[in-house]
Amino acid sequence: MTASEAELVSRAARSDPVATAALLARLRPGIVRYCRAHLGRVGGAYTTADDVAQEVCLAMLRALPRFRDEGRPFSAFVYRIAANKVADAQRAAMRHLVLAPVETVPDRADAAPGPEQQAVTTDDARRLSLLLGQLSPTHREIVVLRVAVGLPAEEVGGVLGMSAAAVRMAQSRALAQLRTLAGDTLDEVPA
Amino acid sequence: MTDKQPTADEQPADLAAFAADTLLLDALGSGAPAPPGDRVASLLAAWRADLDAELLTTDVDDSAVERDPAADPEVARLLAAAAADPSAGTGVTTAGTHARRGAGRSRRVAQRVLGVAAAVLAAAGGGLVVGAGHATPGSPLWPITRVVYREQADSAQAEHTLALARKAATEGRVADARLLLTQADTLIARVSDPDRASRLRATSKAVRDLLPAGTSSPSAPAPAPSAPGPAATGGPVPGTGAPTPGPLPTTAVPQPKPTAGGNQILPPIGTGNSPGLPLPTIPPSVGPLPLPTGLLPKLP
Repeated sequence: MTASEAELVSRAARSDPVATAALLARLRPGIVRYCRAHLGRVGGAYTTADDVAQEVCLAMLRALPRFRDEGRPFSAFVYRIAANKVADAQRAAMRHLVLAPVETVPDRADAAPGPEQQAVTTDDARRLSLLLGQLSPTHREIVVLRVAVGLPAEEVGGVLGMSAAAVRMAQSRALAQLRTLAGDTLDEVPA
Repeated sequence: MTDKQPTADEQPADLAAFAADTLLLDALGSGAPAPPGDRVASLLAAWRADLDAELLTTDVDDSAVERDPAADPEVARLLAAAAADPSAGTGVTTAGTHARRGAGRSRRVAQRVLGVAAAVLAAAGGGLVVGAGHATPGSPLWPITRVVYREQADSAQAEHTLALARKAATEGRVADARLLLTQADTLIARVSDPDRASRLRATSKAVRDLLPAGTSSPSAPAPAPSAPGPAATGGPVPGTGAPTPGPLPTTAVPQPKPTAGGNQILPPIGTGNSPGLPLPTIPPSVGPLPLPTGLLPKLP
């Protein structure tokens, strides 16, 4: 956590609305990616995941005034909230069976890259999330927090209650496992 | 490598691999492209890029995208949604909006206030950058503070009112000071934090001690437009026993009505537009409301 983020957090916890807005702007992209990484596309869009991400943001805002800096990074606070909300959403999806499998085509126009490039990217992304599903929950969470969210190993340790060294060890193991799995599936299912 | 036990005494080769993997994941986590020739890294990079897709505009799929990205509409929306959250105590009812996706209730609440919040933040744009620090009554962010952080809002409002009372007292405007003190006491009564409340009460007493013990002259104009009654009639009533301005003008009242246009939250911003005048200590959105006692439609 950078000094300025710590500063922002403490100001926001003291109900400074400017700091709250700035903190939200800074954290929201990571929270959205976290929820999308775990919940995937439904019907081709990240709508469900983004709804959950919004809930996480709101829960964070509500909990902020109660946040006390106890030496743990703020990300630990945020991504524990996020983990709970994602688990809730997954349980709800299991109950209602609304979480469709990921292999659906995006139904929204996207201006950014060309359609072909987009299709390749989406295909790779889908393949990776299938591989992630075969990792252990802890390894999957580490990959999500490190790559999807972009947290440093120290903060991932804070979220998961592990030392940074343990995170580094585990992330290497997760990567190695992904390489093994990718070797298998890529051989079986050519692109 | 996958079956290796996590031991503290790793081999140097492992440590080098850990370091390399750490660097790779750091880079991917920051959104950097994968190094060439690493299949899994490129899958991870594609995945990460896909997670970012339409991130900025995900929930704003109409002309609102054209708004200044500096005033992130998503942030505005979330702050407004937090403000409108029933569990935050504001209890806004849902009503017709441009519902885009039939999702949850909270989402509809959020959408309902989207326009309002965007308007607030758009109007507050300069204040967001320049007016750092706590929002106080009269600042552009005050409406947000008031709804998101009620407790602090009452406390800040009380502090502000006490400051005005002290100013009035030192300038000899005794009636104004008394009125402001009365308002401050009402606000202090709503502050639940005991330390804060007792500090505020001490300040209130200190300001009251500045005032002469006698009656006051009502010659000075009332500073708070929402409470003209006590200013005119409250002269002979000293100290804390003075009547409060009645049940209507409390800060808890101004909830946006479900029939909202885009302007419901805007009026309080105007409190910052009157330099030189004493700031109204009760949001003026409440003040002008006439009591519609005779106007209730007959129920069928």
